[in-house]
Amino acid sequence: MSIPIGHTTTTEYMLHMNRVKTLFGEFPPDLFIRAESKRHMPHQLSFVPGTITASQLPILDEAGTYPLVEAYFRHVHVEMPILDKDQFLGLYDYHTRAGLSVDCDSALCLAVLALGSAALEQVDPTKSSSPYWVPGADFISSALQILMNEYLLSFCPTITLPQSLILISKYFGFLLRPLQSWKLIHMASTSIQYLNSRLVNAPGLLYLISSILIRYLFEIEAKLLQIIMSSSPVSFYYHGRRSIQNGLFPDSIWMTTFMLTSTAVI
Amino acid sequence: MDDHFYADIDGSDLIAEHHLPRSGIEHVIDLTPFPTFPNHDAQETHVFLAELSVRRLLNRVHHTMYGSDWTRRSLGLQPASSDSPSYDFQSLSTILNVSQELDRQLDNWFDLLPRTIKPNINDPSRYTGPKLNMLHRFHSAKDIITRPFLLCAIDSSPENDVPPMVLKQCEASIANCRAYLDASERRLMGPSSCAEIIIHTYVHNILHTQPELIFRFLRMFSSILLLTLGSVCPALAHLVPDIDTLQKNTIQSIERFAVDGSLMQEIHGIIILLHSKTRVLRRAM
Repeated sequence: MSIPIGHTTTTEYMLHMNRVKTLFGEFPPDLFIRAESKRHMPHQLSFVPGTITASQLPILDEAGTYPLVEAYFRHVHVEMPILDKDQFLGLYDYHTRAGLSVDCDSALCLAVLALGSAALEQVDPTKSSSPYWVPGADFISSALQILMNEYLLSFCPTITLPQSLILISKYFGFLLRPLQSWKLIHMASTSIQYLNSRLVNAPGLLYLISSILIRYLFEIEAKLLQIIMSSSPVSFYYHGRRSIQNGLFPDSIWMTTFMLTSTAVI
Repeated sequence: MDDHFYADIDGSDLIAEHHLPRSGIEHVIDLTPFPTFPNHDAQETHVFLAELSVRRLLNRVHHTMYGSDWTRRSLGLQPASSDSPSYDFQSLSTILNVSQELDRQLDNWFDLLPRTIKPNINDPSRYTGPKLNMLHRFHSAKDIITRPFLLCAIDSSPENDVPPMVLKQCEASIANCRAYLDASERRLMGPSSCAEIIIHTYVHNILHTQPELIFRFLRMFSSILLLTLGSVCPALAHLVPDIDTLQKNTIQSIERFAVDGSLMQEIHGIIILLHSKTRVLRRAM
């Protein structure tokens, strides 16, 4: 599976077509990625791993943070249901009582709160159109510091590491910052693969969760690669020959499953 | 930006320079069991499965219509080269059947969507959230299926008549670009006359689009660029008489996302440039 070399559906391809050059002039190569890579990054969004301690983490006040949890489940979860709501609420309740610690479970809570903030603030252009917009700054900043440390230093990851990384990637999606989104998804993908290889003989539930995450990561990584590499839909695909060898238009297992599901529902 | 594009167009070695590494997750995806969802009737489950299945279809589109030289040869076409367009009128007739078959598969996909996420294609204006997402997906897939015909017509020299078969596909492609822009703009702008509905609809619409927001903007950019090129192409201009309004609407809908220093700001600026130049070019036609 890879992005096909030589496909010509991309936005940049069109921008550099001879006809565009003739009519509208030349545009420099690498236009979009250059803009994003030079873009100002508020310090709260830094990827530099810090030495954060538990006492520096935000205190979760239930009255102030529960609306953010609700916003997360109402607006974000519907498109990417990678958390079990009851399990998460248990984790959140525990940390509102016991406080946060420097670990991935706490980072997951912080990531959900940061996303809830982003979801609620996005609709307010006075905030979201500023280059310095950092919704839920305390949450995201702490989450990033914990996760960067965990990712770089830990070799005993938990399932909450890739989950948190996916959520933080989504957060950068809210901020329309595709390069950071991609980098975090790349990290989530490698950490889930590392975890998955240790879970092959593990009992049911954890393996199941990891398999769902892998599917999601596959999807999200595909989307982000589209955005970053091609700026155009669907250039991510099973590498060349397989589907063609199977016949020109093979029905995939996904298509079949989907058809069965939809038939059952209809 | 797009390494493949550079390899094709400039013949340069930018692939190596801009190659973004994959994480390797594609190697385990085949070995991973299909997920069992706790609630297979939930809307989010349907959305996820529908996304997966349409992606498979779109992958087939890429294989067969935009794929590698290997794919092109399997269709009896010459490999694409850096100094020639992907297709000429003759090779388009070769891929017409393929395009029609893929189009039929896309219609099947749409027909099979469960009611929970299926919009009415004839009345797209009242949908939000996942249903609007499906509509976007549908139009973006249609676009890819018909785009080679439009690009070829745009790229042909004005002396060449566009064959009726190609013109018919161009009409479909342009209609589809319009539908895509229309749905995108409605989604991004929302109505502006009733405060509570605005906030509700707007919040709802915006939030549902976030994960792919940039993606949508880039798709809008592609669509408006195609429509613009059509509008200044003598053989197609009659299909886009309202290009001025289409460009203005697009500029307006993405304006508030054009944050300083961002990719969106570049896109916004380029569409403004296209807008003024199109006016000049069309006056001279």
